[in-house]
Amino acid sequence: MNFSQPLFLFSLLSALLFLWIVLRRPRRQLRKVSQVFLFLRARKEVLFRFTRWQLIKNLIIVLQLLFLIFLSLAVAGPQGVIPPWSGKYCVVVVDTSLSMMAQDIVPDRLSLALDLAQAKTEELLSSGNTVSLWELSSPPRIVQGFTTNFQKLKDALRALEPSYSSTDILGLLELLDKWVAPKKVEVYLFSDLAFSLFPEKFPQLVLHSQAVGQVSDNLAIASSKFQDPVLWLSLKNFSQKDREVHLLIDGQRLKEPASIWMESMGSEEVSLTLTSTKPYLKVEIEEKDALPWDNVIYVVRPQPLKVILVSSSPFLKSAFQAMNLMVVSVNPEDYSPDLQGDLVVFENFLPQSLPDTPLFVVHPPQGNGFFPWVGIEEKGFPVLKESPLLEFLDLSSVDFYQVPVIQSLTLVPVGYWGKAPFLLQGTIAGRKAVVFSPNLSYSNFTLEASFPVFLANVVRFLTGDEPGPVLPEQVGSEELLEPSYGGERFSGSPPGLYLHKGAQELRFYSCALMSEEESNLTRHTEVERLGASESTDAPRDLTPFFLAFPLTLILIEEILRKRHV
Amino acid sequence: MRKGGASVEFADFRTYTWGDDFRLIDWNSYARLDRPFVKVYRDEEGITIHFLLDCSNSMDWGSPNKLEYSLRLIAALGFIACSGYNWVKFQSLPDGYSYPEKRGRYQIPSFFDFLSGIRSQGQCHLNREISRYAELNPRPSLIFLISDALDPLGVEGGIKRLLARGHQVIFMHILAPEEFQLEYGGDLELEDMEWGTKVEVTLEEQTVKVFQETFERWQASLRSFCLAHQIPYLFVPSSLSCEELILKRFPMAGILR
Repeated sequence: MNFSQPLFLFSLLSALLFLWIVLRRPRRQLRKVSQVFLFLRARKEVLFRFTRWQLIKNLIIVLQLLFLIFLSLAVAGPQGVIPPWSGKYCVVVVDTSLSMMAQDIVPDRLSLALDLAQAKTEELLSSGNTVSLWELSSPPRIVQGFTTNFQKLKDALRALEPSYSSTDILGLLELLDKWVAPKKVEVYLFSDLAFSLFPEKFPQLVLHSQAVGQVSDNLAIASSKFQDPVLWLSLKNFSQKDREVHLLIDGQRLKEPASIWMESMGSEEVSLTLTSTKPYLKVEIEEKDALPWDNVIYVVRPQPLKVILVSSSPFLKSAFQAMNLMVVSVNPEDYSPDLQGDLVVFENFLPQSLPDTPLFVVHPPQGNGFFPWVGIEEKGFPVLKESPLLEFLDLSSVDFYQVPVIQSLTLVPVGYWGKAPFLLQGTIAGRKAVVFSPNLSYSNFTLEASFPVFLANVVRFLTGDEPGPVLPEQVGSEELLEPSYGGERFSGSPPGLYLHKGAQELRFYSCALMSEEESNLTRHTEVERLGASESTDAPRDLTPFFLAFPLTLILIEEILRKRHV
Repeated sequence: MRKGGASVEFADFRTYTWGDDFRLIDWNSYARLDRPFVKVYRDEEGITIHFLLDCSNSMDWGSPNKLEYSLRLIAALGFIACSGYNWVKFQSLPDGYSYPEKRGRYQIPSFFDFLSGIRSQGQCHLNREISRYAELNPRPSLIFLISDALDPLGVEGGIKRLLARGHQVIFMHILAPEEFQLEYGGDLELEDMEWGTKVEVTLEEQTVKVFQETFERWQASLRSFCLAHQIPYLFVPSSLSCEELILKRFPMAGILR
């Protein structure tokens, strides 16, 4: 046992002092009396009581001694020692891909997989192992870091839902290799195993797989691509037997080809030219199987968005026209807020008043940049002073705070001094917006494509086609990278990244490090999570127990005294 | 004490029996009743009163001190006896102080001087000492036995020996109040001041109650012994004043008139 304040152990000497006093004190008061034989005649009861009292008195002395000892130990801050852990790191992986919704078993494969995973988790924990719960979907993710808390794992298992995605087993194996390979984990996979496990890639991995589901009897539209008017389909037959497949379009059986012969575990690619002008078409496989959800796709032909491009750049116009958009190009000097469109892009131009459009992109001109955080003293945060963006950046309701973890990443701060390329993506005043600093295109930020393409991708993000602004993907690195921007390093402003409370609506990125930092940020989060779980092995503070014991002793002593004295 | 004798004080008639002196026949009653009667006269003689005092260490204890109280009591009784022209004798138990038989008022000062010099004398086996006294004093007398009777071996055997010798015994049981009403408690080591025996006791409420019961049983056995042998038994707490004892308790017990 360790002690946080070992010097206080000297207070144990008080126990020795107490013992010395007890041993030194006169045992009984001597009293001369005229006779003792009458006492002796009553000795049976007298001596019995005497013996019992003597025992109780000794017990009280022992209790007092223990009280002193435990109090001294409690003051010294005892720390429990965790015995060396001898268990294994186990990763329980549950496949939540679409195929797990197959109802060849009741109620479905996923439910059975969750039940089996829970039973296995309990078994692993009872054997002294540490378990982590992962979800096998696309992409795979860590649901619960390593822990010995069954309730946590159980709750995490109950929270798992179908992901309606494909099975990214390769991603899972890479994730395993990335995070837990050094720990020599054992993996328990609960899946319908409708994929190859790539055992040659990770020969050292100890992988126990539990197949959930009967023999697969599944037809699927594995993937599709639509470029009006051509629809490309990839069909797969996961059955153990050859099947004849018929396609239905809006409930009508396809005439040509009338049927498609598919071999067991084979795939076929079909290319169709849709003659219908309906904006919405349902394409499905007629045959029923264990998993009907993957037999249907919906072909949607959206109307092109009307984009008002306020720019003098001809390159932008051509780039936007390649995106199946209805682009209205307007020179900055001709811009009027009356122009109505689904999305307005201001490039190298900052209007005095912005249009009332739900989507817009702002790339202000050089010299009138996005310096909204300078010069305000009240809250300790710089606030926009001059830029017209202030009109719709209602900062009064925005509560800022600093995130320590992110601060450690040494992101380029939002500020005047750094001249750092800057991108704001999110919702402002109920409108979806992307705003980036004027020097973005002049920085050393390595745009993978040209600026027009980058801007076009931003627009695509706003229109909902992409998960976010497409920025070049940097190669991941184990080390955190310092930002490499061309400007001088800032000074005078606290480093760090400011996030809106909730962190969902408004996110600020430094463009230069966005991809890298986001990757590192994710990694950090995972490391934190794994570390936090492992921290259950930290020594426990036993002071409360050592304090509770002497208090109990006092209580017992009082009861004994009241009952026998 | 009064016995029949040959004094001038008429006491009673009784039927003439063989061997009576003819001169004692009351002829007048014979003439009236035609049966011989003899006159019986009362003879007053000086009786011998022995004071047997337990002078063991256990008597030299208590508040008021039992020994001092007993000596005062003996002095009072001795004064009365001497005043009545009775023989007075004192014997301590164990044998150490002895006052020979003497009578008359002029003996009172010397008797008091003698009493004032008496001290406790250590250990005493009451039975043995009383028996020895009985052996040495065969002539029947009136014996005031004054003791606390705190002898583990008891006092009954000695009293029986006295009775066997024809003595008339009055047992005055002297005890200090704290001996039958314990005024101390807690963890104690009790030492018998006469015998040196030590006992460790814890006198709590229940223990004291047990002791009281034991004491009452012991006293009741003494009282019943005396009752069985027609011995006047007087329980005398040393806190009781001598005046009350002599003027009230003794007449009530028939010891004094």
